[in-house]
Amino acid sequence: MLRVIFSRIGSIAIVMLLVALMVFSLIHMAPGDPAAIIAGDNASSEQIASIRERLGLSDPLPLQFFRWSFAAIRGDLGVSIFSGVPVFGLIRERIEPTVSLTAITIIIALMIAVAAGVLAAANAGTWIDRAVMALSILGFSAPIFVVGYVLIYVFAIQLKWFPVQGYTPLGAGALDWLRHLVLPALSLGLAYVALIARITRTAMLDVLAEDYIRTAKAKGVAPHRVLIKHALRNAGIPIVTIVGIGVALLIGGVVITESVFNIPGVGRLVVDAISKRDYPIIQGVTLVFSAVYVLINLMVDLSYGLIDPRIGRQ
Amino acid sequence: MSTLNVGAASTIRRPRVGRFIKRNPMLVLGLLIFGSIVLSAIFAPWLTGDPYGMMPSRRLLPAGATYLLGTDPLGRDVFARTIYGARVSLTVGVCVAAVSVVIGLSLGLIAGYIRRTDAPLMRIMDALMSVPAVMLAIALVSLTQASVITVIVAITIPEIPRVVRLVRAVVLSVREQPFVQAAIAGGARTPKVIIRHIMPSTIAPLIVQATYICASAILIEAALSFLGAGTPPSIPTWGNMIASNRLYLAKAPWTIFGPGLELALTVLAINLIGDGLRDQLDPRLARRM
Repeated sequence: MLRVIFSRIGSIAIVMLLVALMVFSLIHMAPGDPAAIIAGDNASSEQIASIRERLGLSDPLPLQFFRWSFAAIRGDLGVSIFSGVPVFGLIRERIEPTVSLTAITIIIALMIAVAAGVLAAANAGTWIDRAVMALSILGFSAPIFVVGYVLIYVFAIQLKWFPVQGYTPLGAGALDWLRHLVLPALSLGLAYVALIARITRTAMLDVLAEDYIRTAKAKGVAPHRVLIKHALRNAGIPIVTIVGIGVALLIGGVVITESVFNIPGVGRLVVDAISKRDYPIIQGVTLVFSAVYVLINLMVDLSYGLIDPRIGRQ
Repeated sequence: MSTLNVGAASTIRRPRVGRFIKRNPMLVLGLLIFGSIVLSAIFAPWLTGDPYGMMPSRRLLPAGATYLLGTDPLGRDVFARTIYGARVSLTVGVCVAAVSVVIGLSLGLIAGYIRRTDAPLMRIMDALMSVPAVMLAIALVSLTQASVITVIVAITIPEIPRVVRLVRAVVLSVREQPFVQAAIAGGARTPKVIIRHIMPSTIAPLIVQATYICASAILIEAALSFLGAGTPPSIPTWGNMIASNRLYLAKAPWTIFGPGLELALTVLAINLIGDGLRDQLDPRLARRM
C-alpha cells in the first residue's frame, strides 16, 4: 500500500510540474513583451524597464521558471497588477465562499445523484429509468448561468423564497449562509448530478448482474438491503472516480456561478481579473485550482483501498 | 426504366424511414431541432430583422408581434440577435470538434502504437486535464486579443486529451488483434499498419465523441462570452446577450431567457444526436448507458 502511495505521489509531482510549466508559459506565449503586458497600456518605457528589472524578466527562461515555481511552492503567487496585493492573500480572503459553495454542491449533488442512479438501475427499463436518463440529458445540456437566472427569476424575484444574490459568511449565522447557497448550489450541481447519476446507474447495472446478487436475493435478503449493502458498496469505485473527475466540472462552474449570484469568492476574483487583465491573479488561481483537482483525485485513488479491501492487499 | 426505379426505391424507403424514427425517436428529435437551428442561422437575414440596429425609442419592449422576444436595453431586436447568435456558437462548436478530433486522433495513434512516446505524451495529457477547461480557456483568451479564432483555440486545447485517451485505448486493444499482427508479420510498414488497419476502429467512437465535444464547446463559448473573456461584446452571441442584459432580469426576463433557451436547446439537440449515434454505433455500450 505504501509503495502505491509513493508511486502515485511521484506521478502527481510530474503532472503538477507540467501544469506549472503550462501556467508559467501562458504569459510568455502571449504576443508582445511580458513586462509591457504587466505594466498595462499606459505605461512609459521606464516603468516597463523597471518592471522587467524587478521581476527578473531578462533572465533566461528556465531560471525564471524555477524561481517562479519555488516561489509558488512557498505560497508566493506573485502580486496583483491592479491592487499591488499578493495573489495568495487575495485567494485566502475569498476562499470561504468558494469552499462553502463547492462543499454544499457536492453534498446535495451526491445525495440526489446516487439515489437517482440506484433508483434507475433497480427499475431498469421502466418509466422511472427513462425519466432519470432523460433528466440527466437535460442536466448536461442546461448551461449554469441560464439555470441560475431561471432559478433567481422564479424562486427569488417571483416567489421571494431565497435572496436574489450575495453571500453571508458562516460566522454570521448558519441559516442565512445556507439560504444564500441553495440556488447557487442547484445551478452549479445540475451537470454534476447528471454525470454521477449516469455512472451510478451503469455501475449498479453491472453489479446487479453478478452471481452473488442472485444468491443474496435467493436466500431471501430484503430487496433494499441487496441494493444498498451488496450492490451499491461494490459499485463504489466507478462512482467515487467520477466524483473526483467531475470536480473539474465544478471548479470551472464555480467561476460562472459566483458571477451569476454575485458571490465574492475565488471565481469572482478571476472574473474581475479578466477585464483588468490582471494576469498574476489568473495564473495564480489557475495553478491553485489545478492543484486542488490533482489532490482530490489523489484522495480518490487512495480511497479505493477503503472501498474495496482487496485492492490494498495486492 | 428510370421511373420504375424511383417508384421501387420510394416504396422500399418509406417503411424504412418509419422504422428508423420508431427505433431512434431521440436521435430523430435531436436531428430535427439541430437542423432547424442550423437552417435558421444560415437564413437569418431572410427570417428576422436587423440584429445590430439600436433604437432608444424602443428600449425593453415586451415580446409581441413585431419583436417576437421584445427588445433589449439598447433597443435591439432580441429575437434577431438570438437567431444570429447561433452563427458564432455553431461555428465554434463544429470547428472545436473537428480540430480536436484531428489533433487528438494523430496524438492518440502515436501514443497507442509507438511505446516510447506513450508515457511522456500521456503525462502531458494528464497535466492538460488537470487544468479545468473553463480556467484554461479564460487564461488563454485573456492573454490574447479576443476573437472567434482565439476562442476556438482556447476551447480546443483542453478538449484534446479526451480524444487522445479514447483513441489510445482503442489502439491498445486493437493492436493485439490477429488481423493487425498478420499485417505486421506480412511486412506492412508502421504508417500503413496505423492508418489502414488500426485507424478504422477509432472512427465510430470518435464520431460519438465529436458530438459531445461540439456540445461542450458551445457551452464553454457561451460561458466565456458571458464572463467577458470571449468574443467582443458587439458580436451577438448568446453569452454576450445574457451578460449585457443580466441587470434587467426582473424587468425584462425575455432578454435573458430567449438566448438562454436557444443555447440549451442547441446543446440538448447535439447531446441527443450523440446518444443516438452511440446507441447505433456501439450496441454493446448502448444497453448499459
